[in-house]
Amino acid sequence: MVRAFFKTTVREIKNSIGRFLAILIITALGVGFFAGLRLTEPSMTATTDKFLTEQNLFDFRLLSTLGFTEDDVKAFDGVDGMTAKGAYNVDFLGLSEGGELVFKAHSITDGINIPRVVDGNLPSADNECVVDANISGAAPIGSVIKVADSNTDNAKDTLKYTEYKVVGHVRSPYYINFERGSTSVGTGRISGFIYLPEGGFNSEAYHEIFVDAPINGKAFENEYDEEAAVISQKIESILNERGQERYDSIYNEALSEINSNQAELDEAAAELEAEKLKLEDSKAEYENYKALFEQYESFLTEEQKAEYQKQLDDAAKLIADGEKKILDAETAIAEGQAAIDEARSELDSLSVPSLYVLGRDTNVGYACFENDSGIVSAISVVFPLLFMLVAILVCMTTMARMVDENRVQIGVFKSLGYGNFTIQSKFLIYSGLAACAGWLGGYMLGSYFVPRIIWNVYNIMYNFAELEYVFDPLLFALCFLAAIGCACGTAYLACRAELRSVPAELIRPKAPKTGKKIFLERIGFLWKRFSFLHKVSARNIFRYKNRLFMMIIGIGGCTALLVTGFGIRDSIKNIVAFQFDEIMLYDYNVSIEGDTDSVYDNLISLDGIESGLGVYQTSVNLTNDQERLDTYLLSSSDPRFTDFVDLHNGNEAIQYPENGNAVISAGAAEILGISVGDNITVNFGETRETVFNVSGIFDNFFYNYIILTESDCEKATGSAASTNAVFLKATQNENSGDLAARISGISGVTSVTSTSDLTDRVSSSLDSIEYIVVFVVICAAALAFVVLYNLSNINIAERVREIATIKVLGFYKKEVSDYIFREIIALTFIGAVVGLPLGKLLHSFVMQQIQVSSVHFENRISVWSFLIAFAMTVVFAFLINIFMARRLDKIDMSGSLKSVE
Amino acid sequence: MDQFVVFEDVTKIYKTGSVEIKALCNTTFEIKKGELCVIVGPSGAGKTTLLNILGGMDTLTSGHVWLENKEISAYNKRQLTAYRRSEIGFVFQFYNLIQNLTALENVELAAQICKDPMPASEALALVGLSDRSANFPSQLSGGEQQRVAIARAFAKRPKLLLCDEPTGALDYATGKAVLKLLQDMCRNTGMTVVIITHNSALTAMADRVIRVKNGTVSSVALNENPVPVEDIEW
Ligand SMILES: Nc1ncnc2c1ncn2[C@@H]1O[C@H](COP(=O)(O)OP(=O)(O)O)[C@@H](O)[C@H]1O
Ligand SMILES: [Mg+2]
Repeated sequence: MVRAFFKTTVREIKNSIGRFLAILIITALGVGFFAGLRLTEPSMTATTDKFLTEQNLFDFRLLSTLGFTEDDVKAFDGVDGMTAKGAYNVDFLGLSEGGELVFKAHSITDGINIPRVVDGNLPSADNECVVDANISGAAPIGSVIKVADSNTDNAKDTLKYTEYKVVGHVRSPYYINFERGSTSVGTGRISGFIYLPEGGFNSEAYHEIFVDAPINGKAFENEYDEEAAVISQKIESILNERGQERYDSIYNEALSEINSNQAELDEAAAELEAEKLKLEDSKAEYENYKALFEQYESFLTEEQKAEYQKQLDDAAKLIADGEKKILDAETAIAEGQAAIDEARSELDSLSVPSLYVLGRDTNVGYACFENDSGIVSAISVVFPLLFMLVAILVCMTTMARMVDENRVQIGVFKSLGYGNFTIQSKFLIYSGLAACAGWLGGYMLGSYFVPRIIWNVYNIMYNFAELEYVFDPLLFALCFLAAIGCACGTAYLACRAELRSVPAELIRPKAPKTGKKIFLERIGFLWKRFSFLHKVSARNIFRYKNRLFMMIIGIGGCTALLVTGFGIRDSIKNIVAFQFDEIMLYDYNVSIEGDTDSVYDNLISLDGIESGLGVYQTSVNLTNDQERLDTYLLSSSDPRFTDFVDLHNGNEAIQYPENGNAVISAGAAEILGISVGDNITVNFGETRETVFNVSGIFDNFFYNYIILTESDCEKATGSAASTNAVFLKATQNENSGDLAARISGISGVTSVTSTSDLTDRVSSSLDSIEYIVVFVVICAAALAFVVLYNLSNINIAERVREIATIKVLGFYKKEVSDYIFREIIALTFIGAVVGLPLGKLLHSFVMQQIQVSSVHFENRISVWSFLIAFAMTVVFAFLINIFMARRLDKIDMSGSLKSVE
Repeated sequence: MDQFVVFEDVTKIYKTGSVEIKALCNTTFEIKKGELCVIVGPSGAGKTTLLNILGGMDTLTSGHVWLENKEISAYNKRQLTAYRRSEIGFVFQFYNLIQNLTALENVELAAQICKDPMPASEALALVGLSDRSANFPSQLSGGEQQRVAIARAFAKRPKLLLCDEPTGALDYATGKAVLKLLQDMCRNTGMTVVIITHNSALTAMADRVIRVKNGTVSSVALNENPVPVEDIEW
């Protein structure tokens, strides 16, 4: 009995392989999409966790305004299994092959924040360094980075050598995204990091301590945060102790120095007093002698007179000298006293150091990653839902058809005394096998490829490692249940009704579904315009409601996916062009220093420069309650500003702000949830905070900007907003490489950024967007094919008699296929039309999810994308029709009409 | 040749895998224009095969078939379709109406593709179903459905009306009415009608009786005095 059933099932699969594949593929698509998208975030997290674990990113970073000593480090090292390492860092301007860049130099900490060597090797001498792989082009191996003379004394003192030899390129767990942070040096933005051996630094105190704590939880997971919170308290208490101690030691040292200086000074003062007295004595003696000399002058010979006079003069000179010396000494002592007093008051104002225990979430890369990786999760619900819905519809229609075809067989088995379950099991096994195969295949492919494709896109911002494969048994099982539930559930429902009927009823042919008038026929004037055959198609379209839905949802979904795919490209691909053709209209952004007026004059008189604009630019933070956004501040009193930065919102021009007002970029507004008329808080440095009213929001795609008037800038930053950068427009056809070099050659120019370089760089990384588009198109095509194939297949199988009849009536090949496919084409059009707005919705949903802090994607779909999506859907339908037309041709008239079904 | 239909040495072999079934073997017969011809024979004798070849629904293995001096057996697929379209009307045992079309529309479907069709309503009137023209097949009885099928075939004004066991699925009285309709049509319009049956009693109504046995024509008899269907009992 079991074998007989197994046989009929296998034969059934063989005979209806297309139908079997339809269920298989739609299940695979649904499962693949779901599993893939679900696993993307865990895979990304696992990859990052692995990288961070291997490179051992710090768990805690300790800061003190007084710095740390060796003893401070020892106080943490070894406590509760922790490892602590002191570290140095300094921002400096460095001259590299790529020009003057702002670097952040870190000391290599043994076993914590281990840089991963991409090429070359780690430094072996103190005057060697390894450089950020992101700027490997600017500092190739073998080149040197010179510490620029224009650096602050602090920077120059902290770096032991004046130049460092590049011996390798590395990635650092400390910088997992592209963001390198801002600084007070140079352009305000760090171009890249470098790592030096500890010996490459020259500093009394460590600038920071990195702590590696024994935490079991994985990065980005709650367990990590919980464990970290506990250890953090312990560290804090030690840190406070050490801070007090460090304060005490600095205080006592300074105090004892002051005291000893004071003692010395007092001694010196006392000596001075003694000398003073001596001088007084000598003076008195001199006066005596002088009186005596004057008294007896007449008794002396000329020689004697001259001799005594000389002696007296000498003495007077000595006394005058002495007096001067004493005066000098007195001022010196007064000065010394003043210095000591100052030191004393300084010491009085010396406070206990501010201490910070910073966790990983204060690391920009780590925090951004946590945010950005969450994006996929949201998408992972909507997309698979679409496929699931279609899958259910496909299974339902397919199984219903299959049960119909097997009516007689069911009846026979039933009359032979087989139980319902046994009879049902054939259908359950059929759909179950298809679903199982689809589930396995879909899971394998989906869980491998989908995360990789998305990771490729993320590589624009994060590129540190190959993606890890994550296997999630729970998800695996969940997909299985969903697939099996969907397939077998529909199979069960399909045959339930048949199983209720008695065998006799089943063996008789099923009463054909009654023809019905459709609502369109009630609209007389419209109906009359239809040609006869169109009327037939129209009626057929509405004959089977679930097929209508399957078609519209399936085809609509396909179109929607295509619109989304192309839309994503539209929204992302052109932002580079928009940014530099429509918004930032300058060709070079040049940072300058020194006598800025003359530097500016020199710049605009360069050959190949059309015009220039002096601006003030710096980095600030914009904040609201939750977010803190790194933003460029721009300001210029020049009314030509909008010739260089076109402020607009759509077609509407935005005015340069007045005093008290600010204009911000669209990305910043979106992230901070700010609209025109709201207030915005600008943070500068640690403590400075100013509030402005937002008077305009302008379209902008890269980075975030806030624009203020010069006097507001001063309020915001506390220093005069004098020109520190020049925007330059080149005349047409200017060789940019040469021009950039000539710009750099002008003294006072600290850095040159060419927008064309930036455009090239960003464009090439955005090319990976194509992956997404191709991926989406393939999925959409697969969806369309499955739905269309399944529908055509069922349509034909169910209507063989009808088709044979019209063939007998003498319909030509073309007329027959028109007769059948006209409704499929019509449904395709309806589905595609429904899919267009659906695609727009889906697209804006997806774009909302992929907001990234420094890139603002535009929610734009071009008309072309709509057209192409629509056209492709229709083309898919035609392809299927061409394929299925062959099947129509094969239908044998006499055979099909011989008997009843 | 004044013969309307000529079958000459027709052989039809079905090949299913390695098995060969000889459905027709050297069949030869003729039918004159305007005749009512009945083909009788036991089940499996090859009647349907014969009719299908005559109607252009199937091809033959060897031999020749002519209709009005045109050799049908030499037609290609497309020509056969055109032939079915303009020359032939079919009536089947299981009506084969399109379920989603009303009676009138089923007739229209055939009329659509003809050059000079009979108006669909007229064809329906001819079979006496004017008042049921808006009904769907499922709303009609078997006899009524078969009459719609006849109207559908007739609306094309075919040269040859082929009926394969038209009463096979009908009860006695209804079957009789359908046969009467066919006989009347033949008499009134002069159309050549071929009816297949396994019921020998029906031979009485025909002008020409062709007996088929084991894939060959065993005898052809001309009937001088065909009996009206009403008078035949079986
Ligand atoms: N498509 C087919 N494939 C194989 N054998 C067929 C086919 N059609 C008919 N036959 C065989 O040809 C013979 C004649 O069949 P048919 O013409 O339908 O007989 P009848 O209509 O007289 O009952 C039968 O033996 C039948 O099995
Ligand atoms: Mg037969």
